[in-house]
Amino acid sequence: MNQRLRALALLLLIICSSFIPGCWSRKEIEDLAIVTLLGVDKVAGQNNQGQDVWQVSAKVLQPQPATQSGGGNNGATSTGGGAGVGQALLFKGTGATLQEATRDLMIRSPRFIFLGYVSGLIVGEKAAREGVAQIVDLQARFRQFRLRTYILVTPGEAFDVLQAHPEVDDTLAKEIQGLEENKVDRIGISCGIDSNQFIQTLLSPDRDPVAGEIYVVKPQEDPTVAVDKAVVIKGLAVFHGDKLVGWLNKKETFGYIVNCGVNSAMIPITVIDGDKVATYLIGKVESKIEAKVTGGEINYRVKVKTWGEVDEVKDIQVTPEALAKIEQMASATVRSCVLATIDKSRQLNADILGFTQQLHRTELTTWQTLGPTWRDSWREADIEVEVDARVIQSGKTGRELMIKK
Amino acid sequence: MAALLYVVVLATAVLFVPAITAQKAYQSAWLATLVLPTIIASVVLLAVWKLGMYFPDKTLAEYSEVILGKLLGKAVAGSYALFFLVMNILVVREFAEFLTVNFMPETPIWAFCSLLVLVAGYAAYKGVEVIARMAQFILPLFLLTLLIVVLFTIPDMQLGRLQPLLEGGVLPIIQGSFVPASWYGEIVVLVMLLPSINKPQEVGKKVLIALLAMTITFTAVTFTALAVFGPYLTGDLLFPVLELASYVNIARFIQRLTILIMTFWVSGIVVKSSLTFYVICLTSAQVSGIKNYKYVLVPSALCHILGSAFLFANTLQLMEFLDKYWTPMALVFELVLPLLLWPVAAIRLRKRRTSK
Repeated sequence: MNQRLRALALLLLIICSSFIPGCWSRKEIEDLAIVTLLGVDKVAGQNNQGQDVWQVSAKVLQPQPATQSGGGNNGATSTGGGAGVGQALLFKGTGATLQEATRDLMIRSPRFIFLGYVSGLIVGEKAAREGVAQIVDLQARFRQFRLRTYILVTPGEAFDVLQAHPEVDDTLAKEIQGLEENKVDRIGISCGIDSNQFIQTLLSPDRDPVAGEIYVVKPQEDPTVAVDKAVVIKGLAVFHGDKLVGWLNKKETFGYIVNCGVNSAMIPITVIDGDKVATYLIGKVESKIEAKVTGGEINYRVKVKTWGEVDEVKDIQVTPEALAKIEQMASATVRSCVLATIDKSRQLNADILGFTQQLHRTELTTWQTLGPTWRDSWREADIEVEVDARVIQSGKTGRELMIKK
Repeated sequence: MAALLYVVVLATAVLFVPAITAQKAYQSAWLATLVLPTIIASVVLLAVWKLGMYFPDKTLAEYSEVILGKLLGKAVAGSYALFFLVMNILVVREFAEFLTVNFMPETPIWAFCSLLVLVAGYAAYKGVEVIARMAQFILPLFLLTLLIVVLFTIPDMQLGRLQPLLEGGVLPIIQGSFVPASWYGEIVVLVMLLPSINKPQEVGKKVLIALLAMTITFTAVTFTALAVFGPYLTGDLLFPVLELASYVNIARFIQRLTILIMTFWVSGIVVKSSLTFYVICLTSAQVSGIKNYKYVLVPSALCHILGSAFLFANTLQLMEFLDKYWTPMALVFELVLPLLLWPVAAIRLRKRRTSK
């Protein structure tokens, strides 16, 4: 009898507990507008006060997959037709603060905004130039955000970027996330910086942050595909403190990536010697900054090692001697890229490569004498760059395919 | 017993302490959790254990009267009861704060407080053995979650973030040590539990092992937070370890572990709160001469709910209290008082022996 009573009590408890999550914080998935990408801009205000207002735009996941594509209930297959058009909804709102603008953007939607799945935060150039502190602080503070969110800056308006459509994946957010996570740094065109890295560098007293650069292009290759706007992540945005001050071009971006080090990469370096041409394909880069202080003078040394292969040659007999020559010339090319990055960062007065950070970490006493003018001493310091490019493979064939002339 | 104390200390420590320590000791915070707190806690353990060996069948509430006389003894034991009450009010509030800040902002704080107190009160009603069994069950799950957090964030660690070691000298580390020390010192609950343990002779050794284990775990967790988020962000986040759990991303497949981990932390906090609840009831009953501690359950439960729900207006007040006021207060009860009682007890006992 007692046991039966216990079983009954247990049953009652289970039934009761199934109602527990529904008290105050009940959230049904049908009531959520799941935001996948967020764009933040500063735009001229519509009211006559002449003040700029925040403009927040969001890609919101469409709850049901479009039914007309006839893919049944398999959501992933409904990319037919307009290459994923209609998979995500786009909203835009303005307001005096970010949260006011966020409320404004969802004013027509019966659902509540949910930011837990934001995979990319895109900041427009104007907002970035005025400073991202407010955006980043909100992001770190508001509970729904995660630190895995990628930070990207676009020349122009972030809203334009959100208007783009995915080409490969079924949503734009997935495409951007995929590019940032495992593509852009491995082909040497940009760097995936998530908010953890970005905020950390912003908070640290000794380094300036960078963020990926994203912009819209019109794909030209196939006129039958109706995507008129697609995104490209290429280059890096340079910040001085929390303010955007400039951009790195292709060469400088590569120099930055070399400085960070990269694994399982495929970055081609062209080596030209008169008529002879070869491609040195970098597979792995390791890099180290050394800070030395001798008699009050600060010296930095960047040591780079790259491992790669040579598969593509023109008019070169692939011999050990030739490879040594290629190694030498590739080293010089990589070195010039790193030097270009250093020059550009000095021009912009933003220590993005972390020289002073290294000084802080290894030469503590010198760092403590620097104070708030640390950027000046870094600009004046001597920086040496050593690059050791190694060829470890030359493909599946031997010396050269003997092709008759 | 060792398992119980391990869960009791770590359940709330992993939530709040890494941030507080990193604010003070920055990249050396993992040293701040490693060295000094362990030494302090070992001293606490030694004093508590010695006292327990002098009076193997008595709790602190009983032997303090023997040591210090009726009036002073009752005062000391009474203040311990209050200390445990404050400790548990903080635990309940931390629990509620953790849930409202991160997951359920709409739910009123008293709802979480009352639910936890209800569960903890029931466990306290069932007695210390039930609580210990609970701890045995929770411990492996709890450890597993911490292990997952540490292992799965290895790809995101950069050891350079821990440099330079000892910036600003040893002083920041010492300053940062007191908060973890006050947490490790919570093993002082032993003063009320020693008589109910089967083999009190082994307690010293076992608790020492638990202490070392919790130091290693906690240092590993702090180390992970620093290596992933760097010293500055770790100090600015309220719950760095929770943030770690949500940061985990293995091949875009294993991610968003927050809820899984929260479940086990909540159960750890239930164990902690139950034990403290039990200790409060036992102490206050023995001080006021009530034979059965169960009579004190309901009034102290009310104190808990009211105290935890209404003493603090917001999270920052709680953090400030934990940082500025709780630490010295805790160290007085955890370290100073046992260290004072120990020599007094030794002298008293020797006198009694010579007078016989």
